[in-house]
Amino acid sequence: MDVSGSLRPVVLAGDEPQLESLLSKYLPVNVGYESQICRESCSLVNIETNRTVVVVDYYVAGLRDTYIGSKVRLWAWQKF
Amino acid sequence: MRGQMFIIAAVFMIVGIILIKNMINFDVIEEQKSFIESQSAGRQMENILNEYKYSANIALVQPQKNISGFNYMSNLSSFLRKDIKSFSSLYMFTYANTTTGKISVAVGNFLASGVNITLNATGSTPLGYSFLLQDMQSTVKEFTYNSGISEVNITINYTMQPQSDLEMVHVIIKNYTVSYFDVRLHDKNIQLRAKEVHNRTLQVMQWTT
Repeated sequence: MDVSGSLRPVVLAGDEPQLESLLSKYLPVNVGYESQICRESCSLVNIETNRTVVVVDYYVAGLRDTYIGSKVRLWAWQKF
Repeated sequence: MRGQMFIIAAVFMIVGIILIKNMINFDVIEEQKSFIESQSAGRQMENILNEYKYSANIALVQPQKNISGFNYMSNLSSFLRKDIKSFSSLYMFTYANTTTGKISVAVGNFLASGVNITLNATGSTPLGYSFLLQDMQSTVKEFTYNSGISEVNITINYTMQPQSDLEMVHVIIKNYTVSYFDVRLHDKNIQLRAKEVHNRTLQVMQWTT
């Protein structure tokens, strides 16, 4: 997503629904996921509790002339 | 008779457990786990270095490039230090301002320990600075470069016992920034370290109608 240029505008806007919509194109249908754009610590909401959950962090410093200093956290788990 | 049956069953169970244990190659699983962990740390390192470079690029398009560079690098380093347990870094951000005739050098220590730093610059006044930077501390030092020169070599020497590092960057006297990053991801299983020099020139485009 970062290579295609779609990630940073979404992070700058703090648009999590749009982020999840973009992520759905990359993840298989049997994978459940939740994502957050965090400037401090991320909160654990809507995360599957009785499954093995994989967490991936990606840091985003900014976009063009704007410093953001955020990270995107993705939680993913197998649905079935 | 019943007791003997229990003993025979127990022997079968022990033999079964030993056979299953031998069938599972724990070394291979451990190796695969380490491989996945190192791949993940490698990607994280790549991400961090890219974002340091991105911060330097953003600073160069701001009106006050030296202050922005200092702020962005410090903010990013603090954020990463709080967020990643295994992260530590040292950064240097230099900017040659042709209007003031000065080179500003921002240095930040996030190596989890105090560091003795020596900065030297060729063809400039003063020739150098020596100072101690505590962990999570950043500072800015300025050099006034001699008129007529087009390039200054800046050397940073930092010591964190038992190791000492010496790096040199070339600062071109124009709207130019050069940064140096020493990023480390150290935990009990993986020790990664990357040093990188990144430079960028601001090219002002003039539009004619």
